[in-house]
Amino acid sequence: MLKYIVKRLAYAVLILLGVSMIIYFLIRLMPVDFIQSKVDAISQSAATVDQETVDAMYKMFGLGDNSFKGILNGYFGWLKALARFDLGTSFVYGVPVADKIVAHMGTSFTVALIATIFEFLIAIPLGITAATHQYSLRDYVVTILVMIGISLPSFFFGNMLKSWLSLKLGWFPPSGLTDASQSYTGAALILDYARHIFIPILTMVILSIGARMRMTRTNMLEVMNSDYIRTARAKGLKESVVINKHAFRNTLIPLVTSMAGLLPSLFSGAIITEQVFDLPGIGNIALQAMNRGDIPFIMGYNMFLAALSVIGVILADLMYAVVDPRVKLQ
Amino acid sequence: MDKQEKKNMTKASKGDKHYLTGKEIRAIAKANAKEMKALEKYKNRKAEESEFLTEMKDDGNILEIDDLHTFFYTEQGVVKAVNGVSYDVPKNSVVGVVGESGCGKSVTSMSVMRLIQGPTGQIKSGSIRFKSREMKLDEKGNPIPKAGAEGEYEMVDKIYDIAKMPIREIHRIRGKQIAMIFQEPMTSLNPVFTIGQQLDEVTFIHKPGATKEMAKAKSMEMLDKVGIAMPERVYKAFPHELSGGMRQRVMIAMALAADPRLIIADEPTTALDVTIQAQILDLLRDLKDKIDGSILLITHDLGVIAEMADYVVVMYAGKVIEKGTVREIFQNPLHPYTVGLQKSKPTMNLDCKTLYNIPGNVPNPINMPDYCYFKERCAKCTKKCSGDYPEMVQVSPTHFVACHLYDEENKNG
Repeated sequence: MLKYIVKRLAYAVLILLGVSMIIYFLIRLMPVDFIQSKVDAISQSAATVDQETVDAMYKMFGLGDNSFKGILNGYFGWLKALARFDLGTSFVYGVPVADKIVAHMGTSFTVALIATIFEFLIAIPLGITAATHQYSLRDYVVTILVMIGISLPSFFFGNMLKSWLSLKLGWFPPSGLTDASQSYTGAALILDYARHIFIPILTMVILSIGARMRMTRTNMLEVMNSDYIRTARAKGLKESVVINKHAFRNTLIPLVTSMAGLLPSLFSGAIITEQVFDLPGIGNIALQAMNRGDIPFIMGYNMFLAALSVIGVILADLMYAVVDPRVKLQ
Repeated sequence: MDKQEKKNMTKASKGDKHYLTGKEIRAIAKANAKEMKALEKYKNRKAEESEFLTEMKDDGNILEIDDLHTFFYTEQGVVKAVNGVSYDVPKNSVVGVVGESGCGKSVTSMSVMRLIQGPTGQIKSGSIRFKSREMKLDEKGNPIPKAGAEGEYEMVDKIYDIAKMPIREIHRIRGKQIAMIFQEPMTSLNPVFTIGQQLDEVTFIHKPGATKEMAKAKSMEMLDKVGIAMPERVYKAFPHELSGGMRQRVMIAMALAADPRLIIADEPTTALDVTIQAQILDLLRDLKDKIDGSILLITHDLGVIAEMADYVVVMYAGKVIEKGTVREIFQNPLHPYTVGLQKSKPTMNLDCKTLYNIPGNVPNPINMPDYCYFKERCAKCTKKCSGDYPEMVQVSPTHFVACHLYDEENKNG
């Protein structure tokens, strides 16, 4: 078991090296030029910037040489810094990338974690009840409602909820994370946070339930039609035990595999939802960095997600062995 | 419904292939939905015990299936998988049910266990009377301990009509009174639980107040009984670690664990290879004498029936066409289909180049003709065979056959 984990982690390092190289090259080839936009901004205000200064700036930021060799050099420079656990300094925000990520991750993570918990708590029972009452009114109602949820775009539905719950009814603040006019502390501050993130979480839950519910329903249907469920019934077990013990344990197997994608999504931030509600989450920050060609930040953010994805897959494989005795890791 | 059926039938008789039009498909779907809803509601109802208590016709039987109809409401029409089946299982006997694939023998046994997958599959009508042995209860609803014997209780026979039982009451029957061995041992055990967990469960359900140790002791005893060499190891194993033969033994152990009155073995050897088949049959034959109960053995292997059964029921296209004692069926088969089945059995002594087979195919189960279903394949067809479906006629106290050939014989004699 330990040997297996060590082996998988070694592979993970190799994968991440490959991923970092691809991302770095892609970013350098992106038609966004941080220096150029900076120069444009300065020259717009008043002063003109001479070519010498511009060249010096390119050199200072390490973006002067756009040949293959130049990019490769830049990549190894980034890698060398990474070996010293230094992700570099963000061009746009002017602070170390790691600090910036940590500062904004909390908000995104809290929102995503709460949303994911509710998503599972609602979607799995819905999927099970839809499957066990297949073709009944209940099944149709649940399926149609979650299909509506899947089909709604988040920017549209988020704004709908915002205009209804906050602008029309005034129950919740429309945007931001804190109330700027007040200075709460302690429990009141937490309550204020909760009021601000309520609608974003509601949006995310409603939009994500569908996929998870459909998946649970499909798996459950497949399991319910299997021979061992018939055996369990023939033993004289009550239907509730058949469903909640014999069928559910088998439905868990594919659900656990789907958790591989969960780990990065908890930390990546919801780019669109954070924009709609103006939350200072990491998704929002990353999008701005991307638009302005902030190479160190994009590298740091993407590599952080890549590492989480790889770890998520390893964890899912380990979990697989826990829920399915047929799987042996070696 | 009837109108629709007739329409389909006339169309089917006109041409060989009839493709349903959109209108017909909608009509079928509508009629099916109505029927399924009513039957599903009946299945899920709450009912007092008195509603499904009944009386046996013959007290020597433990199971009486009487004019059972089990239908499947499909998109193409109603499949009458079991269409008026009646047979009895006497106490402490082995009843063999034979017939080719799709003749409704498995569906009949599933109906007895109420394991037909709803909402498409439903018991339409008929009764399944079963003599259940239950603990006698005093006025307060507590079991009465038997005088002189510790841990035993006064027992009483109760006769249930399983077809009328609401599905929520069916756990009184399943496992405890009637147990079932399925034909697919490879997939019939839950892959995520150990053999021990799955076996213990049976004791936990049916013995109130059973402890873990009691359950384990019982499970080990059962594993030993079905001839598993290392019960301790198998107890801890997961199903995927066992071979097909071992899994079938475990399934049999599971069926025996609650001392049921009736064991339904639904083609227990079909999925196994020949040597293992022989072992499992030996085991069943051995058990037949050891247990205090009856076995309903469903198979398409006549050899197995000849060896094991006391009574034989021959089914064809959802109906019983001949039934009698094993001696009567094998020495004096009457129905041309039974005769054909006997002839198509491979034998070592006869010198022939090709194996006999009954010509033709089973009629389409959706549009059954109203004359004898075997008419098109029958060599002994008479004019009368184009008439109504033949009635069951009695040729000896135990021997029944549904064929027009014996109608006349009956009338003359």
